Amino acid sequence: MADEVTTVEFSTKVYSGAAVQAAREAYAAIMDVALDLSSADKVIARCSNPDLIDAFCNHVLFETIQNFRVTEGTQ
Amino acid sequence: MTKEAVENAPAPFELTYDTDAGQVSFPLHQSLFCLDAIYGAAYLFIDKCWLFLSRPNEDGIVVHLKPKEAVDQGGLDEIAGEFANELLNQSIRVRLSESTRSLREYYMSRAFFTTPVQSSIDALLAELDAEELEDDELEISVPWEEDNG
Repeated sequence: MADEVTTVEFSTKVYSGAAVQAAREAYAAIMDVALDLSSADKVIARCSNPDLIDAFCNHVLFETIQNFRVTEGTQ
Repeated sequence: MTKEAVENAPAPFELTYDTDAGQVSFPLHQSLFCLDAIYGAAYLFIDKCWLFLSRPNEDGIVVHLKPKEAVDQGGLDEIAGEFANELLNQSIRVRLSESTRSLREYYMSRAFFTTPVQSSIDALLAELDAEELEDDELEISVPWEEDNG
């Protein structure tokens, strides 16, 4: 039976790609996350566990604010 | 209040947000709220809400808040009001930080990178020490231990 995959698109105008990757590493033990970095406008994350999507998004936001903040000038 | 005054009174402000599927969505315009203010407000809600930021257009950001615990419509309205207040609070903080930036940088540079000038207190102490070393012809300066046994 195929695992259910949930796709989340993080706009690079408000989220940092590095933050998405940092969150992916933090959740590596409990959830598989495949990243699509081909677009300059967004980072697409395909997550294997839909129950952890909300927590994953929160962690991405946390990493963005704490460590990889997007500045206005780079938008 | 006269009838005319009632008719001309401005409409009460209504907080613009949507509640759908148990979450609050705030459409924000970046001319009103800078990204740092949105980050600051969102950060404070991470513990009690699931948050997601989207960017539907060039100048707009939508903040989606979904409470971690189930709440009714009144609870959603309360979260919306709290978030709106915090947005304003963070916007003011950013504005104040920007307005005082040059002053803070000036004082920091003065504190760390300028040669300290000998203070007037140090000069006075040096003068007193010099006086103590001079001869005491009137024998006024007697050590406390000798004077009090």
